[in-house]
Amino acid sequence: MRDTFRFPTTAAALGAVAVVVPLALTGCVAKDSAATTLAVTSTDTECNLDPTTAATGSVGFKVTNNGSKVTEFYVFEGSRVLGEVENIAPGVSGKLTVELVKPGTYEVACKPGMVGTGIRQTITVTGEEKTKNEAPADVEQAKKRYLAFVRQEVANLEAATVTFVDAIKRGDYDKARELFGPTRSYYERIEPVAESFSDLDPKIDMRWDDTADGTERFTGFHRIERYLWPPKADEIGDADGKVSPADAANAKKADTTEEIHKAADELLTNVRALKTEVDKPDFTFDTQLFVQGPKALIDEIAKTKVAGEEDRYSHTDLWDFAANVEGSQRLIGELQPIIKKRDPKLMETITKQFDEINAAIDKLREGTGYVSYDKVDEATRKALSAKIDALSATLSKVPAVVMSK
Amino acid sequence: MPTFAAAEPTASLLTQLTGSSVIGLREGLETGIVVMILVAFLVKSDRRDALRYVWLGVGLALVILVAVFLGIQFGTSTIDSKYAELVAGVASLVAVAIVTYMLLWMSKAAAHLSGDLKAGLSDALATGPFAVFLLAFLAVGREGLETALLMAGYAESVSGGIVPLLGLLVGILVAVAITVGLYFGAVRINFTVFFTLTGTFLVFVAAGILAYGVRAMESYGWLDWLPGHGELAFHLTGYQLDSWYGSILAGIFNFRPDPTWLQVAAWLLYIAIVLPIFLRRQLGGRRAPAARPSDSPTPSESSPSPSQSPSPKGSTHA
Repeated sequence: MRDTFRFPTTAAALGAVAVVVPLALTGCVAKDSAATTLAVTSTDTECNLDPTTAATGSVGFKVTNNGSKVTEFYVFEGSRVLGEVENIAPGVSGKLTVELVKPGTYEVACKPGMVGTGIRQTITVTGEEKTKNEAPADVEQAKKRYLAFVRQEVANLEAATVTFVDAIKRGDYDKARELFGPTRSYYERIEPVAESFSDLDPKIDMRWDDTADGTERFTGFHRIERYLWPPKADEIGDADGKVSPADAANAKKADTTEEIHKAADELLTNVRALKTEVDKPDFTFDTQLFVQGPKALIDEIAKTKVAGEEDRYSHTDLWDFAANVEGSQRLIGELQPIIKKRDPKLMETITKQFDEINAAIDKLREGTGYVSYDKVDEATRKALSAKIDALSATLSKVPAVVMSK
Repeated sequence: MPTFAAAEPTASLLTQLTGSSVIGLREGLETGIVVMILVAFLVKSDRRDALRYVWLGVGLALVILVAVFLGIQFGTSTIDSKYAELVAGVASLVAVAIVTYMLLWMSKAAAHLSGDLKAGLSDALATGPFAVFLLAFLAVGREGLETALLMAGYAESVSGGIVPLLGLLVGILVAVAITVGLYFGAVRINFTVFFTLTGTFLVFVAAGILAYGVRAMESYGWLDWLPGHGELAFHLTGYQLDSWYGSILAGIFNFRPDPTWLQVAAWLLYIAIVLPIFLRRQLGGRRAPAARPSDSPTPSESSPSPSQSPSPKGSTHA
């Protein structure tokens, strides 16, 4: 008899977990996905909304109970309940996000005391009718694979930064100059994702132009770059890719060994913070960011790198340039089966244009790296720029193609 | 104390305290009552060894509850409240099924082995450690997702500071006190009387959970195909659901003053079917020993009946 008592418990416990965990996950919705949030104030006799209008899509409600009774809040479409928050005690607030995809009026209700039909109000929703914001399953799959790549890239970035920072602290500046381009490559390959961290990205990758002429602290890769390649007299000027006079003056004054060691330590701290963020199990990024990523990376080149302003002190721009192209190609690699399935011609064009750009970059290789960008003549820069623009135009078609079902 | 409810911009600290405490009381009772009865059954029938399945179920439910809460609190996602209600509804129905199965199975076994109810109960329980575990798990976890959402609401609340949370804890403590009090009251009474009374009580508790599950599924839209869904059968005006009595009745019997027709129908049907079966078996099972002069309802459980082994607890059938 005891034996019959013993055997099924472990299996039962595992079984319960196996049932409950997917159940919980199925009900997952993004926490702060709502574009607008309506403030609802529930008292014992009133249900006030501010504002009373919203745009179609995800609409958030923050329900504050200022009454003396426990209250509830409901959103109705006709008689159907679209969403509800229960058990809002006096002095407590509850949150709710509801997908209101059709324009029109919707009824909402506060239920002080939790009974009856409640105090009814209407809200007006305007805008186009929206389908629920869901990407096709294969795109979500591709995004998951890409996420693994992002994590790997950031792990590589951390390892490379450790070596880079170590070289600086040892005073081995030749080694540091050699490592600068390759270390940045890891960051540049995943730039759209890295840039989504609006606090860390500036700390890691800010330029002098972002410091408001030195009033903000200049940190990150480019601060160290300026120390490793102090601005020369003939590089100072106001044109793109030149070092501004204020920048050069600041360099003379502020770039001490001590300051640079500090900046190097901070860089490593921030890179590690980035790694912690992307390694979180629930780390994700917007699907739009993912499907627009290939173009965004190529546009990075067109925007800042063709003119040589990104690495204005070291002229290692071609490292970043190549890394952006590689990052974009990596993204396209993940999306390739999907693009091929839905628009085979587009995939052919993309492949051809990447080949052309890679051939052009290969011509600028020198040793294990690339020629200094200030040695690249205007005609070559223009030719590269034209290829970049053409690819960007092609890649702009990618989001619509992959998101169509 | 004068009330400024309408004029005050926010609820007074006292209403914040009491408002949250009634929620804690109700949630605490909803969670605790079934577990209490289960524990009382096991203790009364000398099956303390099966208590670990109860604690395993309770523990697992709590772990999942805390994990979901932490996920909501620190993650980027939350749980759709309507979906949480659906899960609570389905889990409630499963819990009712298990309660009913155990109750009827035990009373049947007891009726067959007329005279030795305790032994019969032991045998009946032995067939269902999984049922014991699952019932404990569901009793605590059936509203787990909703409770996690509730906790997240408290964790994020800044308007009322710590007071609402304190109120919630006070309510939970009162619920624990009531549950423990009922437990000691229940285990003290004569075994046969205990089984009949607690079983009857459990039928009403289960009927309430059933009605709760029905309402949850109604509001999710799963019962739209049935006539009378969503329509209130009656509405007792003046009954305060968020009062102390309202919370206790809602916590134990899931009673609400504005049930829908489907809720009322489910509740009535359940009682009408299960209660007579249970009582007939109970009274039938007791008829034989009742003929004996020694088995009047008054003597305490410890006075051994002729058919019972005088040996200490637990050793009877091991």
